[in-house]
Amino acid sequence: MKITIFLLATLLSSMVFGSDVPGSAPDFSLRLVQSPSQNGVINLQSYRGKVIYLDFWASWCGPCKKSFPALNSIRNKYKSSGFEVIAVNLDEDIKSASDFLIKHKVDYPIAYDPSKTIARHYQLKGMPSGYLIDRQGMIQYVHTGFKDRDIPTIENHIQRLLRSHP
Amino acid sequence: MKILQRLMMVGCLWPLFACSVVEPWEREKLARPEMAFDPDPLEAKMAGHIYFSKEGSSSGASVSGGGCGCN
Repeated sequence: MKITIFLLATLLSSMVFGSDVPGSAPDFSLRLVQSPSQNGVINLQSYRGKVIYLDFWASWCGPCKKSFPALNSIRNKYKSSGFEVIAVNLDEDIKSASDFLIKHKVDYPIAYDPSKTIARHYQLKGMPSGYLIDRQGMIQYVHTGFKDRDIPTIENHIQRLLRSHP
Repeated sequence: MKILQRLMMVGCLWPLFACSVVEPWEREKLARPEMAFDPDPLEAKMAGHIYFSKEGSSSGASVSGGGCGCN
């Protein structure tokens, strides 16, 4: 009986997911997918003071493809108010990401996380996952998946954060 | 005998340890069209409609009809 309880407890404990998303956005320094010099690096910390939508995506994910034009237009709409989108690609092969970006051009920076360390830090639940980070570097809103009808919700959160600390 | 029972129990539960969480970024192959339950959702819906209509049975996909496939 004790053995059974022990086994069940071990099994259950392995099924428990990590705690909720951390309050402060973990910093990172990642290589850009498309950079002319091939050694362009992006730091989250250097964007402190701006409202950031950190978008994790992969080229094989349908909703991610859908989110690209929408995020690009949101980004261009609020850029002057201190908003930026940073995308982190999670493909196995960086070539898939570069091929995708030739067809789906966007104006915001795209980083590549080869070891998926940053994705693990952010405790991704699905693809795509968007983390809305305020000017102080705190995660204020997490959006998993993407449908066209999600756009107003995302925009409302962006507007709220842009308003709160001008 | 009790030991044998315990061993069997451990043997039955052991494979469950292999269960692991597939991280969102590891689902590339699972997301491929050929991995879908129905490769063509529209075709599956039509086939289901005809099948349940002809069979006169009721299912989650459709209600039974007279066999014309029109409801």
